[in-house]
Amino acid sequence: MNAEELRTRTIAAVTTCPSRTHRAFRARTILLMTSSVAASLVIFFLAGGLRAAQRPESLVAGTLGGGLAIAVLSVFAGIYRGRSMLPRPGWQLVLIVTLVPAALFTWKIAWSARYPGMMVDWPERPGLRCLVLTVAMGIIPLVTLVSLCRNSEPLRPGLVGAAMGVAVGAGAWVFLELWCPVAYPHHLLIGHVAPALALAMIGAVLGRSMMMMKNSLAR
Amino acid sequence: MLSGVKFQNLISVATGPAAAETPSDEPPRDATSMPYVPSLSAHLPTSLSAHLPTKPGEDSGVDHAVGIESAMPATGHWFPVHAPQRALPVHHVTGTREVGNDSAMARYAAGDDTAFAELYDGLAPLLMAYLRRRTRDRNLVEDLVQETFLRLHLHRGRYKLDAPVLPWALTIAARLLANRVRGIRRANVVFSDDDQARDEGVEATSPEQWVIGMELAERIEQELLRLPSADREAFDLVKREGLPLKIAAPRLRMTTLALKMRIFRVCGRLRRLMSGGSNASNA
Repeated sequence: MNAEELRTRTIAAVTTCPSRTHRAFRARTILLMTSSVAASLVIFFLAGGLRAAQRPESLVAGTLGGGLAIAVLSVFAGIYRGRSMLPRPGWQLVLIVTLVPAALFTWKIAWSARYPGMMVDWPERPGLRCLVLTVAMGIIPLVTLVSLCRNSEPLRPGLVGAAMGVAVGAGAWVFLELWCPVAYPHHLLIGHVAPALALAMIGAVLGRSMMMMKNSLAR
Repeated sequence: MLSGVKFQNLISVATGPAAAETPSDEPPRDATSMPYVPSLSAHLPTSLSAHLPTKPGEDSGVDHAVGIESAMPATGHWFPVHAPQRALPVHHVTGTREVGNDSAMARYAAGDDTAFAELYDGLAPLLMAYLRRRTRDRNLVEDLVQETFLRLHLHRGRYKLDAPVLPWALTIAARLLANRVRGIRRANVVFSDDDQARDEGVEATSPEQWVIGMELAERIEQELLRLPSADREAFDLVKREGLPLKIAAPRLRMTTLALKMRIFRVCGRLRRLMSGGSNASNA
């Protein structure tokens, strides 16, 4: 086959195969992400929504503000790629996956330690409800994000999925700040840090299975 | 403007040092001959094409030591896969941008379908040269170039309008090649005993087994001829020509799911025939 035949064949193959334009893809992304975040909010409100009782307002505002800042940074670093179609280098993604939960945990401990009585042990609240709520809130946006990038990631799909998972976990952490008044380290590790890492692992698995560019043309 | 060294690196990564060594426009048909780049220089600015190596053996700035490993595609033919050991990784090709390709891709992503031909003309020679540096199988290179453009087409909605398209395209091509090679390696594991025997000049199968195999193959062919034409056409497109379901389905005017079920049915029928054949031979 000469170059001209290949060109003709390729253009013919492309014309028989529909694809979304930039505008259509953006509209679909906005629609799906808005729906998935709305579904997460529904889960949050069904679980009780804002529960600021027994906590000083400045404590809630501080932990919420710090958590929000870290979540925004993690979304920027974990999902946004700048002027490139390729993912960030592997070491950066690994750093995001490990540092974001650590930063959220450290901020929560550091801010809560300023308020006496806010970090006392609460044995009847080991953190299982927080764990379930965080995973339940995070899983829908995570699956949506991964499915939007289905079969399109030529490099490091597992790490990209993990970074997405941790970014979504950080977002869920912010809502959990409004819901959970408990701040002792054991509870935080099980109920707040573990789900963020679990979402990262789920993201890694989904990324490898769904986002990896395969030889079939599924979209 | 790019520095000469940077550009030489890009060219070496994209085309390999032998890119400009083929004197005529007619591509070599021999799988072991030098890579062919039809009109790479024509797609580059004059100031940049001056950096291309012009004589056979002239170095282009990057060590191009290659290793050769044997691999077997689905067609069953053997071909050498050249795995570069010290070439720059694809994702490092970010310092250079072919503005024409980027703007063509941006227009194509925005919905201007006529920009695809322009994008193809700009990228195809680079992709082809890049792939030919890694494998000398012409058919595989052509398949991968086509597949790469199909991916660019399918994911054009994801394209960032200010992102360079060349590193993305080269990475996709490299991933698709890696997937193929991985599949080939799996095939090698399956066929390794036979291959070893073949390499050593030993007959892997007895004449009796060979005859049984030939008879079975003939029966399968006859069975295929007995299939309804729609089934046979579907089988030919998907299993023999290796067309993806998404592409084959519109050609056959059916949905992907229906095509998948049809192929499944045909394969089941053939499998039953084969198991019957092997049972018969065992008996």
